[in-house]
Amino acid sequence: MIRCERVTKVFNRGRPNEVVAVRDVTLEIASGEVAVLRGPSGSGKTTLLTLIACAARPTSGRVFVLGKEVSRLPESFLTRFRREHIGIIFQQFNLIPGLTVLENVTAPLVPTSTPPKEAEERALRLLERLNLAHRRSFRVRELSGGEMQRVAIARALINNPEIVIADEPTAHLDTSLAAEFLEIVRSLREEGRTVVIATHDPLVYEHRLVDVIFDMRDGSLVGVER
Amino acid sequence: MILNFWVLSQILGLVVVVLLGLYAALQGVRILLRWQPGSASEEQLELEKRSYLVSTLVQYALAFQVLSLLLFVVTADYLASFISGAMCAFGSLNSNDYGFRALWVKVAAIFAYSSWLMVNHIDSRAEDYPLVRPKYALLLLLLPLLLADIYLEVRFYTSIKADVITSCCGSALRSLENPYGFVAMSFPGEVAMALFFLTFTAALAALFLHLRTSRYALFSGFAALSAFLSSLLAMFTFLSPYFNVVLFGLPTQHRCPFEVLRQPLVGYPLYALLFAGGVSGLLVALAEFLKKKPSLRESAAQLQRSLARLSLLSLGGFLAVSVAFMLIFYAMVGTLFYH
Amino acid sequence: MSLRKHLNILDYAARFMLRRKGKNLATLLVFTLVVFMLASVVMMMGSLKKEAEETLALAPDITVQKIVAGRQGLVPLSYAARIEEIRGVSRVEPRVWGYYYDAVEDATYTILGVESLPFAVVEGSPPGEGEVAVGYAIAEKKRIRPGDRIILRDYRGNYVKFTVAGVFSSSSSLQSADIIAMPRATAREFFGIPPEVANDLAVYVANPAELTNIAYKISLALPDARVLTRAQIRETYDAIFGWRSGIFLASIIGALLAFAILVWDRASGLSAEEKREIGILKALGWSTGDVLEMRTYEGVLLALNSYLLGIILAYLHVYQLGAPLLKPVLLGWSTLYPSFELMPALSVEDLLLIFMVSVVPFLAAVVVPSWRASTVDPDEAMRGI
Repeated sequence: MIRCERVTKVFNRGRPNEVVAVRDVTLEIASGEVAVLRGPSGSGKTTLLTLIACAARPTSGRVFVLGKEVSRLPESFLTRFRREHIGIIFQQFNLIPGLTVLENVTAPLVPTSTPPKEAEERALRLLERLNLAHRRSFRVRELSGGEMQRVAIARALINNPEIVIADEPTAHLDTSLAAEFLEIVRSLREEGRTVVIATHDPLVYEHRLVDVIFDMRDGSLVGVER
Repeated sequence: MILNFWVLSQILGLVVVVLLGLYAALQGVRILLRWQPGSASEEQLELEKRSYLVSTLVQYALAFQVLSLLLFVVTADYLASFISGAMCAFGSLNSNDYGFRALWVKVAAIFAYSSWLMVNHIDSRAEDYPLVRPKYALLLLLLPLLLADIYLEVRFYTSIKADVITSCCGSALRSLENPYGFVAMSFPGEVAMALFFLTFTAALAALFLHLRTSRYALFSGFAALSAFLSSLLAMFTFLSPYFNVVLFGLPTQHRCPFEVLRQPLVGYPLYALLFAGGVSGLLVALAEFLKKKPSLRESAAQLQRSLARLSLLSLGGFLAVSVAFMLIFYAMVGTLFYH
Repeated sequence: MSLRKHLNILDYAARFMLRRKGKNLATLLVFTLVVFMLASVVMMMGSLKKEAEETLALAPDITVQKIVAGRQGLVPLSYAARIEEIRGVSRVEPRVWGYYYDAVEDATYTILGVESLPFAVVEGSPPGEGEVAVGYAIAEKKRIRPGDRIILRDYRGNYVKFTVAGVFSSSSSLQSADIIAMPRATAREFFGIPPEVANDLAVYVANPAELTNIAYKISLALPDARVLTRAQIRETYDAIFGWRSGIFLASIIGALLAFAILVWDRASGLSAEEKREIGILKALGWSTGDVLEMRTYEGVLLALNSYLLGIILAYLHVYQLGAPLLKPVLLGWSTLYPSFELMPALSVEDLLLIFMVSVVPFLAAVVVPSWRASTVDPDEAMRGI
């Protein structure tokens, strides 16, 4: 499903500000699992997530996603692969402020041949499922934190991805909203999707939903808990 | 030497195209030298991004080149009023050695840029980018064409002497000093006509068969290109008078291929059809070669079909319009053959 | 590859721009102004050229004047006979004409002695003995209609009454604007020109190719004649057009300067917020090519809108308002052209030309900045950079 083989990611290689963000990581996540990358900030969780999410290529090592080696793909194909198979929930939600909720959710479908009508219908179905249909024409800045996150989730699901990736999803949420988020993760899992979460929130990694935890420290994988 | 707003803006446009081309070539050299297939290095990523820039630049160059070809003819037409003896674009292009050469280089450039863009388009649809090196080597080959274009055009404008009497149109028949015009104009009309209908029949039939059987691609491309060339010959010999008589009531000796542009609603679509048909026909043949690479086969075949369809429709359209004008001519004059 | 995808991106580009009205409006205004300036000058030049060409078309192939002591004098009709003997000359016409100052209107008219009127009569009939026909501009100004009387002062200072037989018009406004036509004999009497001379001779040639040759023969046969060919008159026009090119050159430089500012604005003007949005789009699955396409559409939309707006404004400015902004700059022209009624003369070629010097350099200049803006890495948005 997702397999990393001796993956290393170096930023600014050969320059004084060189950083080894991920060092020699090998891991495997099976299909339908909920996996957690656990570690303090700066431990390389997010960088590893970008590699799994096909948003970047490793400096060395190989990454396989859905049986395809993505670590050597040219940028355009990597992008297309990400667009078709992966949904990303960002740490800061990364919603586009000037757009409405509906426009934010459909943004990933713009560079595809999806007709606007169909894109909107799909977005509305997702918003209904997340109890946000009544907010569809609100601007992002008019939303509460929990609503923003649900918009981000709807956007991550618009392409019906096999893999959902979330980076510190509960960082800006209170306990009850975090619980709500975990409920959504449960439903995603029930639909057979693989979920990968980077977090240091015990509420998340201690939840019984989680199948596997990878402990990260200084860019290296230091332990696996199943 | 002639310098006015038309000439200046034409040169300005060309300078823009040359700058785009030079910049694209520079990027191309960089990609050519440093490209490492399968590498995940930051430099490779940078080069991949640059390849987008190059293809965009060449697309722009192509679009501007089409515009520049149009403006070149229009400018030549305008300049005719400053050159004694020249009555239209034909006369001014014929007034020195560079006019028609510049025109042909521009026409060739459109074919060359389109070919490169197609190779690029097909290549970028395969994950292994199999043609990166040949593609950017070819890009460098476009550069001389671009430089020849601006050189010839500038020479054309600087060599114009307003007082030289040029042979325009009808009188070029008698002139021995204007080889480019002369060759085309003195070409027997009957032969040109036979060639015209022969190549068009061949091209349309081959393209139709190609769409049916997906064979004969090379022949289709060759035939479509021949049809394009024979149409140009036709416009210099027997075909243009039909348009000129019907549209403007000019005498049949006036065999000027540019006159029809003075009626933009007929002229521009007419030449657009011809170029679309010729270029896409050539690309049908070119796609056949790309199909030989396993990773390109599918997308090349797909594009080949659309191109063949486009070529068939455009050439068919050009033929239909030409025949329609011949028939109107017949209705007006009472004969089809005026020779 | 489908068209749908490109339409989606185009739609997004349009909304992307509309969300940044302030910034884009400024660019739009500057660009529109550039197009407006260029188009105004091109349209005006087109009109004047059209006028000049129509005037030239009516001019004879060769005009022969007699020079007496370095000044223009009256040509004896015997010259006409000698010119007619030259092989290749098809017709020689002695012309009688002159200027007439109308103190009431403070205007100068051209009085033309003609056997047959070279203009289309719109009202009434061609003038007979003791009658005149006037151009519609004079008719309008003096509020006269066929059948009315017009009083003109002849060379002896006597007031002469003429009946206005007709009003004529020509496709070129400057010709019909200030001409009073009357039969040649009437004109002779009015100006006091003796019957054995004329103002000048209009010579028509059968074969245009022999024109230069014939003009040369005339000047050999008549040493005191000044022989003007149509080509020479055209050269005079060319000189004026050449001077106009200077103005164009200046306006091009102005346009380029404005472009430099525009481009600088667009290149450096990518705000943090725009950059963030592009980063998010990249992370959401837009490729570099998709973002570049969107940025390209932005440029194209901006350029085309400014182009259309500029053309429309220039059209209104030149043809509806009579180019009030350009007139003072180009006042010198009015000595050549007494009337300033501009004929609409806008061709596809002019539109192409304006496109070439405005839209093309703009698009070419923004391509690299657009590309640069589209190369944000998708993981930057994820890593919160």
